Amino acid sequence: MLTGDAVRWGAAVDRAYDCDAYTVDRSAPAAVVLPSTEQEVQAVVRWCVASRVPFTPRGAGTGLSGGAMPALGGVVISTKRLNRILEVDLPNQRLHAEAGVTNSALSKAVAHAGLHFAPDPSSQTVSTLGGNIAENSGGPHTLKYGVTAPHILTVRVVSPNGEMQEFGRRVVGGPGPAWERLVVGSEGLLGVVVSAWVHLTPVPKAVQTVLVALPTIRAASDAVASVIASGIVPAALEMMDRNILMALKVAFGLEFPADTAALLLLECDGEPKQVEEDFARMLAILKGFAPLELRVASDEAERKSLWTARKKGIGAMGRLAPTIVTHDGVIPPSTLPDMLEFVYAVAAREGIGVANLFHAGDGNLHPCFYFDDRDPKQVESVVRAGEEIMRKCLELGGSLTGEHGIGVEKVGLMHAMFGPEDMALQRRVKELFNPDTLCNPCKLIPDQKGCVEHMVRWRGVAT
Amino acid sequence: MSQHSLTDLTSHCIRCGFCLEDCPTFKITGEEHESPRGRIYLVRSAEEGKLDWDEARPHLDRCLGCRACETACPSGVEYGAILELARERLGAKPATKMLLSGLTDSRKARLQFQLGAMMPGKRMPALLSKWVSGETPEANIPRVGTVREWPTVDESALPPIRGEVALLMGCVMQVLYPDVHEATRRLLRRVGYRVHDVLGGCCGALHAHSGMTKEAGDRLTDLKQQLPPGMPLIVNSAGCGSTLKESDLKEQTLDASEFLLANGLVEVIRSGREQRVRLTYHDACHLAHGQGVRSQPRELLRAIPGIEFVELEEADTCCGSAGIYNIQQPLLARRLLERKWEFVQQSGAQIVATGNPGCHAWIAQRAEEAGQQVQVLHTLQAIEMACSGMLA
Amino acid sequence: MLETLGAKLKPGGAWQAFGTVDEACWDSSPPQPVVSKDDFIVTVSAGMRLDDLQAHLEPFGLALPFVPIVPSPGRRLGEWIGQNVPHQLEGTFRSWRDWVLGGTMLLSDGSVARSGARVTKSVAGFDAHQLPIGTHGTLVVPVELHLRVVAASRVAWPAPVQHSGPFWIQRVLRTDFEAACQQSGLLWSDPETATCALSQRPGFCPEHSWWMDERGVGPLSPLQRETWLRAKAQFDPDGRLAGVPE
Repeated sequence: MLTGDAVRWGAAVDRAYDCDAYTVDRSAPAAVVLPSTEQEVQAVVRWCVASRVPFTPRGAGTGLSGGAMPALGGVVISTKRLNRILEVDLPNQRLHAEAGVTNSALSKAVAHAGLHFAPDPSSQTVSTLGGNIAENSGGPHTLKYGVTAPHILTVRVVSPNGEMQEFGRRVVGGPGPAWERLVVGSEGLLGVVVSAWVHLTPVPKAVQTVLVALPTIRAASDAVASVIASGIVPAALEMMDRNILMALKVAFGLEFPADTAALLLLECDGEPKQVEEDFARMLAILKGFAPLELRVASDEAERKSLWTARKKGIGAMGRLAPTIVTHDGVIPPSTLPDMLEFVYAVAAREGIGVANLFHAGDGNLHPCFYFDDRDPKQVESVVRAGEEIMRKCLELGGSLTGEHGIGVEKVGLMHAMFGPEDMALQRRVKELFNPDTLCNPCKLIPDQKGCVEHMVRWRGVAT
Repeated sequence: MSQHSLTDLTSHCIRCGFCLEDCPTFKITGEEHESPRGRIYLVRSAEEGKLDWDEARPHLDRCLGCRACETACPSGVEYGAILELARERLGAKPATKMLLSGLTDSRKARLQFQLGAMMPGKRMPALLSKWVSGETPEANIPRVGTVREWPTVDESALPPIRGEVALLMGCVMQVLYPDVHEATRRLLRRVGYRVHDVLGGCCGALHAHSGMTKEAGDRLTDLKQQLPPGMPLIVNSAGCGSTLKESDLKEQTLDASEFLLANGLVEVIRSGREQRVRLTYHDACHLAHGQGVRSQPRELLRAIPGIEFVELEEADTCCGSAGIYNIQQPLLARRLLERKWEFVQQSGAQIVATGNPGCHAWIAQRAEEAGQQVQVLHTLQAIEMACSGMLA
Repeated sequence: MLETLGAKLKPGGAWQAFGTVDEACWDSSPPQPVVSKDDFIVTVSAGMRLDDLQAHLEPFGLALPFVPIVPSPGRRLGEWIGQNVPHQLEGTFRSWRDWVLGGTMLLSDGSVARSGARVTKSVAGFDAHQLPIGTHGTLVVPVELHLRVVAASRVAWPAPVQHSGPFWIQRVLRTDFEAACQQSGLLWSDPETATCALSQRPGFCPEHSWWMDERGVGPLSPLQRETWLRAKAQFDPDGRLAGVPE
């Protein structure tokens, strides 16, 4: 059924697929399969079920919680060859695409009609629709437009026991349950997504962007809290701290006022009149925090250049140290000032570098630790600091993850957020769709059968 | 070339994966081990003793060395340097050495190509190809080039000579495309420069890309001895230019399009006769990704009066030629060529301009297979033909 | 245990859920909502009436941007969620599936479980708090809800539709919207979401469209129904909650 070059194995292949963009834990597959049709996906899943072999779906492998790591070995099912846009329906603002199509390609296919696929994770040029669905990906503009879930009309999946299923409707809503809402964000545990109908959003008529340099972290986080509290819903509200600016300077020669402790990037979009009104109000609020500089983009080129700092920030971190681990936690925006102070204190105590670049508007933090993963002590420090920060997020009434997912990274922390009865409910949701143990094992739900003894092994490979 | 160790170079990759969709071999295979991120990981693993170098080899062999990933990389990973060092670790295969010894010696190359033209079929004998690549050949044996009959230039209309520049004749270039050199000389004269031909020698680019760093270094040393000190070195072959710009000749080396644009060629082009033709531009990898030269050739081409310049979809994605890649990996190279050709046809262009002999010959072969509705020219040929009123 | 969660269920022979409203189930005086003004989040008992919640939010300058097509005073939040009917502001502010950020649910075995978080963005775990939405109280009973609300100043309140008697809501593809609006008995329509309300059951049913009655009941796809029945067996094996509608 599968063509000859669709099945790959060997030492190099095993190595290449032993992790995604989360590198602290690694586990090699026995083989990698690259199906080109949904029938082929189904055939592979059925074979795995019949042979009792675990399988793990993988898109571009840009996930940041180890969701595509084949935790118990077995087969990695790559969706990268499911890369066709099957149907574009412009009048109804929707599109049907296979799971391996990149997020950007969706928007590119309909750009001529003034439409786009609104979720915009930083990885959008490479990350796939299937991966975005599995992780319920966010991005800078999800503050206003929402994460992936509200933009997905239907999901077509090969269920964990090998059946072809399509959940959802081609128009939003409808009577009864919306099972697609459970599949989106299920981190590949509830089946292999093979295609989806997505809802397309008109490209906003007007956009206004400003980059603000502030002298203290406190001023910046207070400014964020004030903008949010004003009731304006910016399209994006991003924050970058001093260490990010340092990396940007080293990497791209970007210059900011000397005493800048934090940068805020704010954007309003929508109908011209509303944008103008909101933007003016926002600038007035920002001016109250004694900014060192306030750069408003006068045209599209300048807007792009203001975004450069945000988009290239994490990548630039690669120039400061061999390894970075980007954490992901959520707090209520009103607690941002205290939370950031806590992050710096923890990093200082553990003796590791930390930089912050994140979606401040929805309180979605991304503390980014930079270190050398060849030194086991530093890895330990990073894991410990990460855990401490996560616990603080929970203490402040937040969440373990805003967009990277639980994966293997935070599976051990689920108990910190959810009690036994809560976890029982989670297990029942899993069992409803995936009563077996083969589809993407050891993720999201702690203490799954056969996983605990493997955790030591994953970490062993990393160092 | 970078002086860092392989471990340091590879450790800058944070595995974000932002390079994936810019990698031609990942785009067509979808396989992690055929991507920049995958290859860097394999090299790092081999260097750290967690993987046999031999296991990594086939995947490094399949890398085009186009360096599109460097353009995409937000962390500034020096992929080209990693690849060269890794290939040095692996050691060049005898077949590669054989190929390069012929190609990069212009006397040998001329002889081989002339002999090739006398053999049946257009391609390398199948047995030889099997030895080199394990696959049947796809690339035609190149033909020894000739110089077209250019009209004489009215000396009185030319500006006075204001300086002299050196023009790299190169190894393959002077055998295959003497006409491109002639076009370059004429264009340089049009902006007031006399040309000093740097005849002998090879810059070592092809050796370096194959991991034969010592041979590459020796060739560069020989070349340096032939250069008049301080004179700008003009290069019209992207691969050579990119290697020279990473050597200690980087201060003097300029791609011809950069130099000509900076010296007022646009005005000269604009004063030419109208050329009604639709033209597109293919970015040679070693110009776009290796040297960051993207806008200059386009500005020059767009200046041609009456021209309809159309952008090529995926213009800066490798065509599969990649030095000697189309001899070593015929099947993948052919898939990339077909992809490139599809976009060429979509563009509706009558002329494809490009700035590197490898791309030139490879895309021209595809144009020939399609029955010559599309003409493939070096950027400078197209421009000089426009100036001489013979493009359309 | 339930008392501490901010809602009181009165014991009875069976847990009665919102789809088939039984006033006796819920204590009529649920505790006060907890409003986080600066974060635009309110935690509220599912037994609270919509009108009471809006009144409670008003002094904070906040509102839940939900306007039923035909007013239905006295209906509780849990009922609205169980029915998940379209509303007048859906085009701008979306609906329950995006507003319910998390909460607490009562399961038919008597256990009480939380899901989601009290922040606007969280992907920790499966979105089990989606289970009560649109399922008419058949699977779990929502007890406490974390709702995303908006600044009241952003909401332009539309006029309610005056209608008594049953009605149907239909959503179609944009390309079918004009034809849908030509049906007799049109009460209300919204081009943004291509939705209309009709005083009679829609006769025009093009591909991909759906309709429901005012209780949120309408035809289901076979897979949707089959999965619902499987879910029923999973979450309420003894049938103590409302039954899956025919």
